[in-house]
Amino acid sequence: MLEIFKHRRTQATEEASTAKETWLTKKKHFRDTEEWKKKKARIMSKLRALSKLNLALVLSRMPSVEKLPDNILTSIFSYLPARQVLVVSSVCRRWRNIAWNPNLWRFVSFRPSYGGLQIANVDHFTHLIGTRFVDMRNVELATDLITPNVLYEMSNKCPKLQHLTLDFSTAMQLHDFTDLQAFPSRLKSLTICLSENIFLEGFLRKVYTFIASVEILHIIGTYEKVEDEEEEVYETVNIFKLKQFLPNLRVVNLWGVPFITDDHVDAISSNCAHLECLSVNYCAKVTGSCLKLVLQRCKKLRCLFLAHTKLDNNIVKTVEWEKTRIEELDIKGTELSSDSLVYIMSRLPHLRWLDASWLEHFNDVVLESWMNSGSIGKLEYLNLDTCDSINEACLVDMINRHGSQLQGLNLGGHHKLLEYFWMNMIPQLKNIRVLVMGIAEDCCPKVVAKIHVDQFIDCIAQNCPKLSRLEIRWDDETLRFSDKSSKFIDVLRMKCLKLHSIVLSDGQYYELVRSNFERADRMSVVRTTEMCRTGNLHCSRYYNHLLFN
Amino acid sequence: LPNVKGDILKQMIDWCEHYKDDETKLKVDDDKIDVEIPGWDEDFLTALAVGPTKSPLLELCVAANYLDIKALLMVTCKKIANMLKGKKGEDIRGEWGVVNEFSAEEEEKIRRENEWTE
Repeated sequence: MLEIFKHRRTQATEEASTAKETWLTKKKHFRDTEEWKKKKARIMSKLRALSKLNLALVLSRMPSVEKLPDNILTSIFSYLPARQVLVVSSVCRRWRNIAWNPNLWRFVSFRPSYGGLQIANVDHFTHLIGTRFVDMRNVELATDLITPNVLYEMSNKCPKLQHLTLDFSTAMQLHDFTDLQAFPSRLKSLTICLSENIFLEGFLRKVYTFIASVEILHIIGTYEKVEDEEEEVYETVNIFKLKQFLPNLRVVNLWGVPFITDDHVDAISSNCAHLECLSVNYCAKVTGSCLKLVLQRCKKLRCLFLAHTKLDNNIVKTVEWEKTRIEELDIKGTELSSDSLVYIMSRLPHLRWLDASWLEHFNDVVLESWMNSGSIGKLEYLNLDTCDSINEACLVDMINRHGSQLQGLNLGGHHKLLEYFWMNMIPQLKNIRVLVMGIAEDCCPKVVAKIHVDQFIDCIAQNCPKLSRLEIRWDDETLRFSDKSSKFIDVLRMKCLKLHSIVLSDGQYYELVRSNFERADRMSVVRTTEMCRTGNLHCSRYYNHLLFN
Repeated sequence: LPNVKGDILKQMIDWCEHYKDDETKLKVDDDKIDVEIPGWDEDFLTALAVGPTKSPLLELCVAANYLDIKALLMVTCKKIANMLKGKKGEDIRGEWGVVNEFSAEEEEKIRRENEWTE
C-alpha cells in the first residue's frame, strides 16, 4: 500500500490532477464491485461477533449485583416494604433465597388498610406460616385472617412471636372458633382493634388460657366512628372476664373505647399489681371514680393518661394523689375546674411530664399555687397548648423560676404571647429540646401584631443548643421576615446541631426555611403544620409501648 | 487492599471528607423505618449508579462493608433499595444485569406460589 502511495506521489507533481482523478475513479469503481461488498459484509459480521464477545467479556468481569455478598443483599432488602421483597424474590434463584431469609420477615403486617400485605389465598398463606414466617416477632392480622387454622399454625410454628395485633375493626361477622385449640402463648403484647357491634366473646373465651404472659394490652375502640353520642354502644369485649386472665399487665391502653366505665378500669387494676402505665384517652364515660382504688392498689403506677375523659371535680378531690408516684399525667381536654386543678397539681411532687392542654380553667391561680406548693420541682415536659386563661405575667414568672429545668414546652395557641414574651423567655430555656409557639390563623382571637421571626431564630440559635424539635404556628401573614432571614437560618442550623424537625405554617417563610435546609442536604427537616404536629409524647418513658396503628 | 479498586477508594474518601466535619449529619439508625437519603448523598450516589450493571455504586457498597464504614454501607444499601422500589422483576433484571435463569416452567411455578398475596 505504501509503495503504491509513494509511487503515486512522485507521479503526482507531473500528473497531478489526472493521476488523482484516475486513482479516485479506480477506488470508487472498486467500491462498487461485488467483491468489495462481500468483503465488507464479512468484515462487518466479524466485527459484530467480536463486539458481542467483547461486551460479554467486559460484563462478566464487571461486578454486577450478582457479585454482592449475601449479607449486603439481605441488608438492602431489609429497606424494602414487604410487597417489594416479594417482587425481588422473583428475579433469580439467589435473590429468592435471600428474600426469604426469615430475618427479613420479623415484623409483618397483613393489614392492607395500614399498608400491609393483602392476602388472596388464606389456605396457602396458612401453609406458608410454617415455612416462611417461622421467625416472626410481630404480626398484624386483618379480620379475615383471624381464623382457627391461622392461629393454630402460628402458635405451633412461630415460637418467637411476641407482639400480636388482631384487627377486628372491619369485621362483618366472626369466624367460628369452636375448634380453636391453640393460640400463641408467649405473647408480650396484644392489641385488639374492636368493631362497633361484633361481639368477641366467642373468640376470646377460647383464648383466655393462653394470654397470661401478656404485659402490654391495647384495646382500640371505635371513638372515631361514633357519630352520635346517643347511639347505642355495645360492650363487645367482656372486660371483667378478660382481666382474670391477665395478671402480668404493666401497660394498659384503652383508647377511645366507648363502653369503658370506671368499673372496668377498676376491675382491670384489681388483678395487676404491676401496672405501671394506664391510659384511657378518649374513653368518654370515665369519670375518675375508679382512681382512688386503682392508685391505692397499683403502687407502681407512673404514667396516667386521662385525655378527653369526663373527670368529675368532686371525685378527683377525694383521690390521695400525694401517696402516688405518678410521673406522667395527661388531662388534656377534660373539663376540670380550677379548684380541682389546684388540688391535683400541688399533690404530685414526682411529676416530670404534664399535658394540660385545652383546659379552660387552668389559670393563673392554678399555676401560682402549683409553683408555691413545690411540686413543680421535677417537671421536665409541659404542654399548656391553648390554655388561654393563663396570663403572660404568670407564665413569665414560671419560666423565670423553672425555665432551665424544662426540656419540652408547648405554649401554642396563646394569642397574647408575642415578641416581647418570647424574646425574654427564650434565653431562660437553656435546656429545651422541644418547643412549640405561636397560634394558627384559624384560631380566635386573631393575632394583630406582627412577629419578626428573624429575632426569634437568632435568639433560639444563641440560647438553645439542645433543641431538637421546633414548631412555630403563626401564619404567613403574621410573620415578618427580611432578605437577611437566610443568614439567621444558617446560624440556627449551625448552632442547633440536634435540630431535626421544624414545623411551620405553609407559606413564604416555610419555603424560605425549607430551601435553606435543602441546600444544606437536610431534606426532611422542615414541614408544614398541616403535615405534622410537634409534641412531647415521644419523651414519655412509655412511648414505645403506647404506639399502635 | 485487595478488594477495593483505586477509583472506588477515592469515592469513599470523598464521602468521608464530606462528613468528617459534621458528624451529626450521619445517622446510623437500626430501625429501618427511615429510608430517606440526605440530598448530597443522593446526588453523589446517583452519579455512581451508571453503566450496564451500575458497578461503581455496587463496588462502593462492597468496599464500605469490607472497611466497616457503617454509615456509608447503610446509605449505599438504602440507595440501592430505593432504586429497586416499584420495579417489576423483569425490569430489575434488565437494569442490574441479572441473568434470568428460571425456565418457563419454574417461572410459572413461582408465579403460582406468589398467588397467596396480591
